Amino acid sequence: MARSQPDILDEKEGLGSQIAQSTLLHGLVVGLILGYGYMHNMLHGSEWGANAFQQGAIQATLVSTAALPLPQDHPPTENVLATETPSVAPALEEQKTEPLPLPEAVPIPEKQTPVKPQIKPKPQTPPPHPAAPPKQNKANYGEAAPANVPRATASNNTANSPQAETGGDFGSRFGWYVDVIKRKVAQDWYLQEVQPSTPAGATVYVQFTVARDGTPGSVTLATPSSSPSLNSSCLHAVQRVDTFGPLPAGYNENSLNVLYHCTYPGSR
Amino acid sequence: MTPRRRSTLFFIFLLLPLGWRAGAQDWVRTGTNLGAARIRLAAADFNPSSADAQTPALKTTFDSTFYNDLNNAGIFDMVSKSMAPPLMPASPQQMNLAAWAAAPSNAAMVAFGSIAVTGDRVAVYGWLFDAKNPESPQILGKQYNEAASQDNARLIAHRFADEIITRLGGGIPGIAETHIYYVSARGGNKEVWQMDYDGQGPHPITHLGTISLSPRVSPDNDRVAFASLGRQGWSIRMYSLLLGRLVSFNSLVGNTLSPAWSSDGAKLAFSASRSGDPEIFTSDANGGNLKQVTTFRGPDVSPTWNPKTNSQIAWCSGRTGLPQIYMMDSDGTSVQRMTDGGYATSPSWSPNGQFLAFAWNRKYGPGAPGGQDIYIMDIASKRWTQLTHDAGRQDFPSWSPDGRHIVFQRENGGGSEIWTMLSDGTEQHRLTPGSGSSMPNWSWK
Repeated sequence: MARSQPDILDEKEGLGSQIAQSTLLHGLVVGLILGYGYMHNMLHGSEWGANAFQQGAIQATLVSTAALPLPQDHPPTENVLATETPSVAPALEEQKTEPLPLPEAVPIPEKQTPVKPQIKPKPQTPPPHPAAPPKQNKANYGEAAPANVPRATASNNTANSPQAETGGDFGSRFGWYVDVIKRKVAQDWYLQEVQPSTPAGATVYVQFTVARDGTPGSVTLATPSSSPSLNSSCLHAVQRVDTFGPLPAGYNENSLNVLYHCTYPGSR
Repeated sequence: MTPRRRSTLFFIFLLLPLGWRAGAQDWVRTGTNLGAARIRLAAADFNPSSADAQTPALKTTFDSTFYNDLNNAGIFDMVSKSMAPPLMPASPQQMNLAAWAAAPSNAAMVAFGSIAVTGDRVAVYGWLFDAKNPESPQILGKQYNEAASQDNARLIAHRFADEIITRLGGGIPGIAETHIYYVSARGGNKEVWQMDYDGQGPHPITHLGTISLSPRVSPDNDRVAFASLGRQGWSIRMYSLLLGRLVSFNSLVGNTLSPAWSSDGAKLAFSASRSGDPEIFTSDANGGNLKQVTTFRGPDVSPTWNPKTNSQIAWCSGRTGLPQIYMMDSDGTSVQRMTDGGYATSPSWSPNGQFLAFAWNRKYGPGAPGGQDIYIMDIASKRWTQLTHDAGRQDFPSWSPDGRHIVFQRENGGGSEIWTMLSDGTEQHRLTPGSGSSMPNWSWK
């Protein structure tokens, strides 16, 4: 570097022509660039974002022309007449009058269509009563309307005995016999037959009949609990009873229906 | 069905009140969760309604017998006499139910009546009232008329008590008129004796002057079968209670012991060692139609029938060493062992066929000071319950016909005595004063 600088300073007389050549060369380069840009713009147009149609392998169809139920920006143009001089409206058709029949004319008898006899609706007669079922021990089962239930609360003499309400006269007259039923089944209900996993309070309802001589019969599960062992233990308790003793002499029916519940007190 | 014919009954209880429509018969709803409480029963002293001189004595006998019968039944919570209202009603018109239902007696039921002696007859009128139901209180009304005597006063008290027990106990007859047959050496020889169920009126039945054991009364209470020692060893003998003498029984030659009646009175089971090895035999009531039902080596003794079916026999067998309780069909098939060890003897089948009572020393053996106690076993599950504890040596249990009581022999130091208890082991009390009484058997009715 230190040696070249004196050479440049030494060649003072040739500097002007070189600057002119350099300027010309730069101007030529700039001109070429500008010219290229102009020519390129003219040939390809605007590529960036222009909606130019190009032939190619893929043709795209505008979405707006497809039969899609899309909402339109503009409502469709109403159909308008093609001419502003519409033709006149057609004349109304004249009312035709039927010619009068000749005096000697005999009217053709009209075809008499038979009138269908109208079916009279039958009077709604109630269906005949079915024959009364034979008197049986199994009574109709179900909850009655509360309004029809006469109720009277009886006193509860011990803490464990159920508080009874009576709707007939058996309970009011022969409450002692109900206690006999309760006590005898309770004595024959063996809690050890119930699985200890049975939840306390689980209840099973067993229904049976008591015949005139006091023997139980028709022992069935009325409402089972979730514990099969509790269900069977309560059934067995009733089945173990030989007799409840004769029904009270003042009770005139042949048998008594009983719904008995066994409520598991929990494993002890 | 017309409303008039429809009879409807509803019971609504504390825990789950529900309505229930009835059919032709009445419906009742009831149930249990904690077992059944005993009935609170008051037995009023009967009102003497005659001025006869015998009346006070008969009334005293009647009142005490009547109260004890009800108290022994095992189903009543008796009202103490001291808690009773002072007025003794003689008739329903004089009955003040409210006074009995109120404290301190708190009676749920009241038994009352009158006793009168006219000439040589004693008449008793008795009622049972429901104290909680003043609208229609009467449950029972009875009248009795017998020759005036202490025995008949007791008899009437027994009968009226049995009526009450039957009615409130659910149809099972009371035991107040039953008897207990047993062996007593009070007269010097071991003879068959009889007493009332409460220990009253003991008297000898046989007078054979030898040794008699294991009396068993027939279901019709006509005959007593027992084992007696004779010139040819032990044999079964039959005593007619109606005729008051021995009647013929075709007993096997050899040591024949421990007779047992079937509940229909048609069969007897007993053990006989015809070949030297005691085996179980069955026969008709007169000793005919003999059948051997066990053939195992080892002693087989003390049979008892299932009174419910008469198709099974439980007995005591030593085929595996120490005696154990076994059960089989009456033809000798389906043999099951019931006890799992120890020393088990003297089985007795409960009247309802569900339980066996027997004597068991569960810790038998040298160095094991176990006592022999009375146990009951639920046959279906083979679960057992010990009824007596630490009271000497118990043996020979026998069920009462109501299945609520067991009579047994207790040896506690000074000799053997007859005791009774409820079948849950409670309320034990002695029936025979002194010693020398053994092998009790409760009559069938």
